[in-house]
Amino acid sequence: MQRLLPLLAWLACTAAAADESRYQKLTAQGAAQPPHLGPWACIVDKQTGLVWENKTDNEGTHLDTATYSWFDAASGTGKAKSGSCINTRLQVIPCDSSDLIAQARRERWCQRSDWRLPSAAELQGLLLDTGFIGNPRIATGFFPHTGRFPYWSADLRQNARNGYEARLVHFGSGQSLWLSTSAAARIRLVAGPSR
Amino acid sequence: MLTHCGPFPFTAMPLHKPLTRIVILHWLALPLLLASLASGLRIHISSRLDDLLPGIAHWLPQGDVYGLHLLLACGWLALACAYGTHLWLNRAARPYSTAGRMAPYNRGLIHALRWLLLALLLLGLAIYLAGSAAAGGWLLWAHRWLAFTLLACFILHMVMQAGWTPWTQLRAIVLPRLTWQACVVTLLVVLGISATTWLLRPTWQQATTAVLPVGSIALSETITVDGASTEAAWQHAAARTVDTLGVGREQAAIPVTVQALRQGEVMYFRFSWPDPTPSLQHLPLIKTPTGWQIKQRGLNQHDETLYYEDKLAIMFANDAAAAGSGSMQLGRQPVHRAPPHATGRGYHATQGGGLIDVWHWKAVRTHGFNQLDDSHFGSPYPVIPGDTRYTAGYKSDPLQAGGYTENWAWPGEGNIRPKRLPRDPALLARFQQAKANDPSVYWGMSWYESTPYDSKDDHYPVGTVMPSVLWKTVFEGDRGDVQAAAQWQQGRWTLEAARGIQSASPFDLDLVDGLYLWVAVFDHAQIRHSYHLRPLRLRFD
Repeated sequence: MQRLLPLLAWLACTAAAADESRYQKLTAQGAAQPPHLGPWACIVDKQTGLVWENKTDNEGTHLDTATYSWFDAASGTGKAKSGSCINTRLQVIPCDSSDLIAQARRERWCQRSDWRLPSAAELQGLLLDTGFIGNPRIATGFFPHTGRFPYWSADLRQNARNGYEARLVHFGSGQSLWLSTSAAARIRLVAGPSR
Repeated sequence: MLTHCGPFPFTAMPLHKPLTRIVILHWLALPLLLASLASGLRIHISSRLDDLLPGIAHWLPQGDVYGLHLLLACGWLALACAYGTHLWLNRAARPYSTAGRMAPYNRGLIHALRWLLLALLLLGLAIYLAGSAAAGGWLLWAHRWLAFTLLACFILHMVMQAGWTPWTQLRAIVLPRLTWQACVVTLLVVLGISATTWLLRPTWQQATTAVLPVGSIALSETITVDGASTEAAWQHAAARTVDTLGVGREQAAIPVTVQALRQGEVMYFRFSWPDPTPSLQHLPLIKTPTGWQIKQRGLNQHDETLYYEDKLAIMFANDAAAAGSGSMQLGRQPVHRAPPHATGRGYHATQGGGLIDVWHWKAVRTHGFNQLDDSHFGSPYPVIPGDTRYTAGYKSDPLQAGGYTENWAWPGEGNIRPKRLPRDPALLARFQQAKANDPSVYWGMSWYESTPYDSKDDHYPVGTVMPSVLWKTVFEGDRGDVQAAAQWQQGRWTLEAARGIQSASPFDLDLVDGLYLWVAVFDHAQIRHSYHLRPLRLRFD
C-alpha cells in the first residue's frame, strides 16, 4: 500500500489541478473573479456550464445552515414551510425549497433568474474526495461553507404510502438517499439548463 | 597477480594497506561531508530564516532533513571510529602529503579538518543530548560556525592538493588500485559500526530521552482547569523544563515547564512559559479613510509576526524520532507536487501513515471555550482546489459545529469588507482604549453580539479598531476533545489541559505510559514557533 501512496498523491494532485481550472468564481453582479480573490457569490462549472450558488455563514438568503423542506409551488408537490431559514430582514422563518428559489430569482443572484434545484446527478458531479473525513466531499476552496450534510436534489418519486420522496446527496458520505419531502435538509441552487 | 577493487589499473603497484584505508575513508567522508553540509544548511536556513546564499536553498535537501542529518551523524560516528582504528594501526607512520612545497600547510589543514570534524561530531552529540537551546544556544552557534569553517578548510585542502599535484591526487583518490583485503575490511568495519548504531537507535533513543513522571492523584481530589494552578496536586507534581529555541536571527530560548497528573481515566497537563508581553490582538481591523483594513505585516504569506495572538502547541507521538517524531518536512516544496510553502520553511507531515496528536492552544481564538484546538499531523493531504493555504499533514480534527471565524468576507492587503459589525457600537469602546499587550482585553467578539455587515450601519470614525475574531460556540466534535484554560500573570503564561486517557477519535493518541511529548511556543506569531529536537517521555509512576 505504501508503494501506492506516491501514485495516489499524484492522482489526487492531478485531480486538484484539474478542478482548479474547472471552476470560476462570480460576484453577486455576475462578474468573473480570479481564483485567488474573494468574496464570491456563485461558481461556474466550466465543464457543465452550470452556475452554482455559493453559501455564506452570515445570516441571510444564502445562509449555509438554513434548512428547507422539499416543495414545488407550481404543482403543490411536497411539503411547504417545514424547514428553518432566515429572511432578508434576518428573521428566522419556516421555509421550503420554493422559497429559496423564488428569492434567488427575485434577487437575480449573479445576474441569473433561472435558479432551480439541481438534479442528483448534477449534485453528484460536485463530489470530490478531499482525503479527510473532517472535510465535506467538495472542492471547498470554491464551495466554502458546505456542510457534511445531505442536500436536496430535484429528483422526486412517489413512495408506497402515496407520499413523495426526494433524493438527497450527502456531502459527508458522498452517498445519495431518498427522504420524505417533509424532512428538512440543506439546499445549493443551480442555474442553467437541466441535463 | 594483482587483486584490486578499483575500476582501472592506473598505478603499477597496488596501494599499501594504510593508503587503501585512507582512500576508502575519503570516499566515504566526501559524500557524508557534502550531505551533512547540505542538510545542515537547510536546517540553518529554516531555523534562522536566512537568505544566506540566495538561490542555494533550491539545491538543498528537503523533507525530514533533521532525520537525514542525524542519520549522517551516525555515519560520521562510524567513520570516526574507523579512522581512529586506522590511526592506531598506523601510529608509527609519519604524516604524508603530496602537496609539494605547500605540504606543511596542507598537513596543518588535514590536522585542522580532523579536529574540526571531531569537534562537530561532539557538538552535534551534545546538541542531540542536551537540546538545541542548550547553553543558551551557543552549542548550536558553535556547531554552525565550525561547519562553515570546515567547509572553508575542505575547499582549501582540495585546492592545495589539486593545485600542486592535480593528476596524482585525482588518480590516487578517484582511480586507485587497492588491496582487496584492506578494501573489504575497512568497508566492513564502517558498515558494521553504522548498522550497529542504527539498530541500537531505539534503545539509545529511549535511554537518552528525558522522562516526565506522571503521578496519580486520588479521585477525591479536585482539579479545576483554569490556568490558576492553585491546587495542591500541582505543587507536588514533578516538573520538567524543556528549553525550546525560537526561530529567526535572535533565536531566543524559551523554557517551558511541563507537569502531568492522572486521575482515574483523565490526564491533566500544566505548561508554563515566560512571556513578558501577553499578545491578545489577533489581526485586528482598522477603519481607514478608504475603508476597513487588516492590521498585519505578513498575513499574505501566512507568516504574521506582529498582530497575532500567543499560542502553544503540544505534540504527542509514539515514536521518539527527533524534530517532532520526524514530522518537520523542511524546504519550499517537501511534498511532491504540492504547492510550495509561502515562506520556504516547509510543512508538518508524517511519513508512512503515522499520526501525531497535536494540541493547539490559541490565546484569543479559543478563549472562553475552555477548550484548545485539537489537531493532528498525518500523511500529506491532497491539495483542495481553490484553497489559498496548503498545510500538508496538519489539520484540525473534524468539527461538527461551533468554533471561531474571521471577521472578514475575504482577507487582503487593501480594503476588506468586514463580515459583521457589533449590534451595539459601544462594544468596541474597550478596544479603542486598550493599551498594547493589555492582559485584560481579548480581541474577539461574540458572533451573537454582532450582525451581518451593512454599509448603512457603518458609521464608525476613521481610526476605529475592531476585533477580527468572532467566537461562535464551543467546538463540537473531535476538535473539542481537550479541555483547556490559560492565564497570564507576572510575565508567565500558564496553560492547563485535560483529556481522557483513552480517546475514541482516529485523530487522537491514547495518553499512555511511554508516549512522547514536544512543545512549541508561538510568541505572537502565526507559524514561527520555538522548538526542541528531543521529546519528553511520559512515565506513569
